[in-house]
Amino acid sequence: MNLAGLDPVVHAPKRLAAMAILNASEWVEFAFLRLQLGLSDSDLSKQMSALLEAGYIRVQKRGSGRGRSTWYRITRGGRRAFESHVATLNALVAQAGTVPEREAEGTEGGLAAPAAARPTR
Amino acid sequence: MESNSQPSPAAQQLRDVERHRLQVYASGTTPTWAWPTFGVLLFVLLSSYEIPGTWARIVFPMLYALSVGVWVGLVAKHAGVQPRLRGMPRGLQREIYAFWVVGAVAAALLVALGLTVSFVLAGVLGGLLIAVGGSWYDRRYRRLASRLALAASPS
Repeated sequence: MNLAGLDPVVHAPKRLAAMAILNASEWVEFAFLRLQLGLSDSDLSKQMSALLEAGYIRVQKRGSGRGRSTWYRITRGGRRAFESHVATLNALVAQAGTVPEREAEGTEGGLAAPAAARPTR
Repeated sequence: MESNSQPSPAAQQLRDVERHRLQVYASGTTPTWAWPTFGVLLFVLLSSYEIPGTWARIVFPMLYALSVGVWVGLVAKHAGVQPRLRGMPRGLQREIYAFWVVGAVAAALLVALGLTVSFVLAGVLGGLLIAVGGSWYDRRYRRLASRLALAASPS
């Protein structure tokens, strides 16, 4: 089993959840991420800083004064790292024979395991 | 192969990723003023074709494009997220494409009505259509997105 696709930066549960949201979005506001992930301001800032440092996201401040908000966008490198991480997780699950049932509808950018990674039963 | 009723950590992580991904589509809310405002903008644009002179043909479409840009920005700011079309669940993508097709057909009919009867009437009808239809479509989209997100949530 090749675990090279597992990215240590993305692997942390809070960052993986944030990357899942960022990967499905063009731009995401700080407050939206905080609400969806149930994190405190400082915790989310810490997680975002780690992703920023890795070059997986970029940040933009919009507005001024009290209306100022912070928006994040996933970079191409971040998207590659996230997709590779998810593909490796899929392969791990397939190898263990515990493919999660896809309760949701099929997707284009979803999490379906690549054909080669699907278990043969 | 051994059957396992408990998901492995990797399987659990994949489920969480899917759940968070679907939250993007289910959680962003459109403000109540959004579609009525868009209706007013459309009314102004279509009605402006009754104004004689070439300046109106240039100024009003430009103002309309500018206003739509501001509208999109304000709606995105309110929602806190701009979902990405690529990677969207197919069911939601179908909803959006259907909305665009219906919108294009309606726009063609409104232009035909404007050319044959009156652009003011076309503006009124178009404005009402987008105000009511947009809000209805938005609710329908959110319902579908919430259903998908709920299906992906742990029971």
